[in-house]
Amino acid sequence: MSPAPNPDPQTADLPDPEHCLDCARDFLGRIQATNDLRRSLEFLWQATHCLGAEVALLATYLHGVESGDSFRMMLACDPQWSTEYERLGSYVCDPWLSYAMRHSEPIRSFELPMPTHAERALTASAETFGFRSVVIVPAPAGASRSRVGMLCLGSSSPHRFEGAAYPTFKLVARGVAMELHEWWLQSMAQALLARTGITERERGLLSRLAAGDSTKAIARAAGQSTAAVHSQIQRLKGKLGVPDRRQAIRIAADNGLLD
Amino acid sequence: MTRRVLDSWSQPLALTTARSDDGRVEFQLSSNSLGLQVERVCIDARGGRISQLLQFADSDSFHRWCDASGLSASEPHLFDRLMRASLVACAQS
Repeated sequence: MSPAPNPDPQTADLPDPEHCLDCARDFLGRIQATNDLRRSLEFLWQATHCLGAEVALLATYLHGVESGDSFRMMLACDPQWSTEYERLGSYVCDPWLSYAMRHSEPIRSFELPMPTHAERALTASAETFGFRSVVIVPAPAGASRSRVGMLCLGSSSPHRFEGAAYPTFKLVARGVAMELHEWWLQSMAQALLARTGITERERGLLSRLAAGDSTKAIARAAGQSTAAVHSQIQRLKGKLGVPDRRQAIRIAADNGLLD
Repeated sequence: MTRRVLDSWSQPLALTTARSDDGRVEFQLSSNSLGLQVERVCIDARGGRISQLLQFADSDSFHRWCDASGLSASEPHLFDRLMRASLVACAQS
């Protein structure tokens, strides 16, 4: 299968709201039927066309945690942009991510302030790869304050995301962004569990470790000996193939296991 | 700066994975229904972990991307491993 043909950027408006809703309903049914991460990009392309865009990116950003920042992005556009994105400062200089970290309401790129030179350079580069008009759709991750997701939908038409259909589009895009981001996190977590054989009990242990609990405190709370908990932690590190608990926590957090 | 490397899960590395000598950049390749899927993972100068998931219609477009990235000059060993990994991944499609 190849990506569906893009809408004509010069003539196409946003899809009819009814069509948009039907398409989104069908799309959500598809992603709920599988956790196969190999279909991630296929789903992103489908969401892109379903919402009448030509290009898109989906990102998930984990920040402010002891184990270090983690930024994951998948692109439904010319892959050459990934090189430019890195060259121009990556997520640190991304005004779309900056917005998504502070808001939950979708916004169009022309409504965003562009305060820094670096941010302007990054969005100018994006324009040349099909993101001339853009809607940034934040996808907050549940109760997690450390993680944020965002779906950015783009078009080479300067006025694609305007007109009477925009309010409905915004509503549907918000739902699609939340569902797709959540699907991505859950699929990453499931893939890690399947790959490592980590049990639900061990997942709970990881959560305790991530919360900063000591071996002694975990043992006391579980009514177990310190040696038993120590042994469980050793086994957990072995499953993840890491030498220390810090790296075990990082992998778990990075893959959505602690969200 | 804290030195971080990709302490990832695939030990030993799969044939479709290419990693730099210093362990700070890794590519994971697989074929999917749209062509060749490539995940580039790296540790940046700030110690952050960055992953980019990219889609290529075929191996030619992937090779063009590699050429444009300058990887063959900056990381020749990694480039060679990446080319081998792409052959394996494309053969699996």
